[in-house]
Amino acid sequence: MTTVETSAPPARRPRVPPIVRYLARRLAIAVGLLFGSTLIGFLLVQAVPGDPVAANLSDEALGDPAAVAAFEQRWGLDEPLPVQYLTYLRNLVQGDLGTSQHTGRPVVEDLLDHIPATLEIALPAILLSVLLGIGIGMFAALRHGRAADQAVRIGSLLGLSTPPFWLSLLALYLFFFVLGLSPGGGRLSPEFSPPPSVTGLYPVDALLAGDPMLAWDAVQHAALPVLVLTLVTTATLVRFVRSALLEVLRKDYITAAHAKGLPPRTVLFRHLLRAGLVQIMTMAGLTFASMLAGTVLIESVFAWPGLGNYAYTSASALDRPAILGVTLFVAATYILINLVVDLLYGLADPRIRLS
Amino acid sequence: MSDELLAVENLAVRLPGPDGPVPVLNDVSLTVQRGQIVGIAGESGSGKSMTARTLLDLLPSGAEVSGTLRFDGAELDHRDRKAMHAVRGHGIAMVFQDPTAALHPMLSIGRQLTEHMRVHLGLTRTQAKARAIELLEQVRLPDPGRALRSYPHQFSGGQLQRIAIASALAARPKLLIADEPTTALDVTVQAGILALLDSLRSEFGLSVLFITHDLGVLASLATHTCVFQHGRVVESAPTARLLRSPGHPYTRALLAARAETAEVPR
Ligand SMILES: Nc1ncnc2c1ncn2[C@@H]1O[C@H](COP(=O)(O)OP(=O)(O)OP(=O)(O)O)[C@@H](O)[C@H]1O
Ligand SMILES: [Mg+2]
Repeated sequence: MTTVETSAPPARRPRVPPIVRYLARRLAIAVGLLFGSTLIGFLLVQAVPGDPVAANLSDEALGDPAAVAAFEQRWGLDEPLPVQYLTYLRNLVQGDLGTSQHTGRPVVEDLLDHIPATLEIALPAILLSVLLGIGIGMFAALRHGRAADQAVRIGSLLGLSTPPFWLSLLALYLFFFVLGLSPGGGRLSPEFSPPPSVTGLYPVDALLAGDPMLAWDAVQHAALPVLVLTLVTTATLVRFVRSALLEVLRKDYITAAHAKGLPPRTVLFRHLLRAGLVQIMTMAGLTFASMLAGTVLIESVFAWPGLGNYAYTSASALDRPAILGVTLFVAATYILINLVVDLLYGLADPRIRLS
Repeated sequence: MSDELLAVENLAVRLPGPDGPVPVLNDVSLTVQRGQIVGIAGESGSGKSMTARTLLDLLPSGAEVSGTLRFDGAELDHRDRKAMHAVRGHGIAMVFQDPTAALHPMLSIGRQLTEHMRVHLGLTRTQAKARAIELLEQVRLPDPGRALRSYPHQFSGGQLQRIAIASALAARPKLLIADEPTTALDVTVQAGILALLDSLRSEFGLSVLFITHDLGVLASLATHTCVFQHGRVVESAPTARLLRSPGHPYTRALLAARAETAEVPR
């Protein structure tokens, strides 16, 4: 402040807008978290009980010390742990997650095969449950304490306490065996073959390829897993939206909006929902991330070749590179979604955007 | 046209409680003349805010209301939702105790000042904006144009209360209910807000129902004062007389309490 530099032009320090500073800080945190999760993931996988050698070699090969040594060398199992970790990191930054021991293919390729299958059911499910969650949650909050609210609370509690696995079996039984409405498990009926991959989502790719029959078959196959996933996450979101909005409803500014004589619709959407939306989006983001990781049981019931199924087979085979790959992908998704939610937060809330 | 703007007669309100309805207002009667400031004083929980909320039909759901409410020559009927929406903001407007809580944190001042103007007065966006600037000048907020683009967290409590008053005046109400508008503010700011309300009355003929727990505040402001206790009006008289010779023991107690706190230097 007191330094005098009359001859020099004023220091060229463009004022960084608060939102940019906020975003930069979030981004730095995200990178740090990503790095941390590789370390934790790596250590956790080491702690997995069982011997990967025994899990992957046949009994014959296990009796042969040369074969065992070759396996250990191939996977770097003979090196000290820190060296193994550094090697893993070096490969990771080059986009190499190692090779799956049970499929024999690069883990990256395996992931790229399975992720779209999971997205095919997770994307529609999250969209539906956000819409339903907001609609039903808002309905219940506005009727707080009355019969309709109680019904919603009980219904969502039932939805929450029903194991998704059981719900999947029930849905399959009802719609496949009893009603015959569902074509059963898998992504496509046997007579169809997958469309040329563009997005990896079969219904979309089928339409892009101009094959509506194929798209319809894919949609029918996805319907049941989407239904189950939607039911489960809607229950969570309804409860969250309800309590978030109940909190906003108690605020003076909502009473003030009514006192101004605004139409109820305006108060509902512009004032009430606006105030709760950021929290709701955060919750929706986290729910979506947990969907990617948590579809194991649903996918196994519907023979759905997604990430959950891949995680399950990798875990049974003690396939360390594959388990670590899935773990990192899920961690990265969480971090990325958190980052996006933080960005939305920053944009939606003037208190963050402007100060 | 009579001079009477608001008449409340034998108002009783019961709110649902865990063991059946709880009476919160009993036999409340009061009137406000056009261009008059009427004070409501009473301790916390005496039913001051409930009276205000009843007038605007902002009671919690399940409330039972009886008695007569007359506003601007017509009966206020809570069952007539359309009429109530027209009264809210346009006939009767309200200023709340805590200005930091009464403005939406995520909506710009401009939007909050203009949205009900456009509903009630049918103004275009540009007209509403011009009127908003005019109002902010009336409540003596510096740099109104900039304020419209700002958000509540960028102002102090006193400034926010001025904005809230501007917002309450936006749709040209005939009666302003100010529910302890200065309690959350410090003393110097308080004086400014009181002076503002008084000048709005003398310049624009605004009627004000001024709620406070501090009888002394009403001395130079309100022509008439009602004292509330336990949901009843225990005394109602011209303010000067009420302060000079309080008739009810409770009023005397309120005045004595004020004398004590006034001695504490601030
Ligand atoms: N939602 C509610 N349900 C039941 N009783 C309520 C409810 N809200 C307030 N009350 C009761 O109504 C009575 C009157 O409350 P009111 O808010 O009108 O008091 P007040 O005079 O404005 O007090 P303060 O000076 O603290 O603002 C109180 O006894 C309070 O406990
Ligand atoms: Mg009150």
